[in-house]
Amino acid sequence: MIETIVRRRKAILIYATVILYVGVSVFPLAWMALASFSQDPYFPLLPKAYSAAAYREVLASPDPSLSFPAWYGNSVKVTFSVTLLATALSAFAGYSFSRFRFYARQSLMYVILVGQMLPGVVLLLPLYVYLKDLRLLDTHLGLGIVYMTFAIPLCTWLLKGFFDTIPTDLEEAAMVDGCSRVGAMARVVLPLAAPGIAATALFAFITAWNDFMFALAILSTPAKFTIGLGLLAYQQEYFFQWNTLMAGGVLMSIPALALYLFLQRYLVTGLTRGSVKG
Amino acid sequence: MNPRWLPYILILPAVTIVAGTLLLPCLNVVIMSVTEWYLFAQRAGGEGHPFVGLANYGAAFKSALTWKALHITVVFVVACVLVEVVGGLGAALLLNEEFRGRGVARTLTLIPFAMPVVPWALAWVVMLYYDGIVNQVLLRLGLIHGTVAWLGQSTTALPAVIFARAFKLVPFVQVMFLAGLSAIPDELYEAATVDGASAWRRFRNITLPLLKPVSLVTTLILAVWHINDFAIVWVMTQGGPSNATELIVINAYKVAFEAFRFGESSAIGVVLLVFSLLFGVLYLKSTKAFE
Repeated sequence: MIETIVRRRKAILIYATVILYVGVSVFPLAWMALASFSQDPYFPLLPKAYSAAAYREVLASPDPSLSFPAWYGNSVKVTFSVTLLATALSAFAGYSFSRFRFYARQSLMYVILVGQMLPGVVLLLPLYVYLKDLRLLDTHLGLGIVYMTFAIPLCTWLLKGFFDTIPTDLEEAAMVDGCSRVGAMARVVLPLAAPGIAATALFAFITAWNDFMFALAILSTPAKFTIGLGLLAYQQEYFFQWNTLMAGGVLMSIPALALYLFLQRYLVTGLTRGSVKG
Repeated sequence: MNPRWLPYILILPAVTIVAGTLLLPCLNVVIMSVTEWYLFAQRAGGEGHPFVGLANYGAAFKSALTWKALHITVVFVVACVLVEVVGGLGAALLLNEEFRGRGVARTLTLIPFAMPVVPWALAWVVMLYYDGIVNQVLLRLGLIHGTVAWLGQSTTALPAVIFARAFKLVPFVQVMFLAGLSAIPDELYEAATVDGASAWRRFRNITLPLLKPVSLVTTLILAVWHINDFAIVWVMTQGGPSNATELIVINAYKVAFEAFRFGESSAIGVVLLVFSLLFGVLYLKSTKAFE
């Protein structure tokens, strides 16, 4: 009898704490969403009337120098290219690190793992100078090259981990049956590693999508801004347009949130092995 | 084709890019730090970047602003890690209990971590504004007597930024600790319960010691991230007001891109590099992720 009461009390306590904690965690996003649907651009405390006016304004972008759709397009373009290239190149490297024992393998892996812990701002100065010399400052190509500093180590490291989980017997069996090493890789390992490769690509996508500092230093023409940089420029121009600012924020957050929902299963792997950044 | 070459051919593109975008810049930043290097103003004497020894280091570390930035960075990193580890441990213990809707709760609490940093920071800028929801709610609850310019005065700006930053990373620590907790076998708790150990003793003598490896790795990752934290501070305060939130990374960025003193900024960068490598090596030693 007493035991049931104690247990019930504990359950109530747990539920109350969980509801409080979930409420606090959801609050900033919920507030952003509310603010983005405000009819008025500026409001103390909470919006008074709701409409989708802010989204219409953001998508129509009346100010051509601060064009939200253009920024979104720029981000999609740069992020997609970086993700595709980095994942493809890293798949080869990750496979090689996972399957072969070769000279300097260990030291190269150290370089890649420690490499992704290096401060971005330190790499930024020399990279900026290279881009300046190559006349690639203020270009999306230049930004994409710079994104490789984190994309390649992240992807290589994650993919090596995923390849490690696939037993070598399968390829060996395929090779005994007359498949070449490359054929075994393409026909046996790649399909099995597909979920891991997809997860890696999504992590790389999110990291590039969320970048702010490299874009800030490298891009200077507002029309070429990526979405994060654009949002800040918009805020500096129209500080009191809270509804449009938050509508932009919601639109930038949606892809990242949706991808994390898919990636939840891989989160611990990604966080410990590949230092996916938050 | 000789199959002996296959491993090298496979890693060649990735390794070339890593060499070009990571190793070469690291080398270059060291060289820049010991040469005269301004972005726009060329020397009166002509082209080139003459060797100047440790002059850039001298200039950087003679500046009171650099020391202030280092001090702020230490406060920022320690405070963030402390809040995140304590908060994340509490959250993980809570979400490790069995209750209906646990999966949903685990997913929803990840939202702050999953949000891109720029919208997250902008939302806090607006929420912390005079008329923002934070001031209005605190005012109505009678906890403050007038609206507070949280990001506008040097006493509250740093705590506000730390709050926004740590809030975002509590879910990260939670995920790490939940993974750690799930690796602790139930039998240990059952045996301890049979022996009459209280809940507190089970926590002290089983949970905490067994979470030690996870917490070490987590703390090191957090420390490296926070030493390099740039975006959230830049969006919220740009290092202001009166440099109250100017982390060393922000300081290095401003010296390079606002004062154009690349040499001096590189000197700060090299010091940062050494610290990051130190933490990186500690991380490698603390994790079995490597082989």
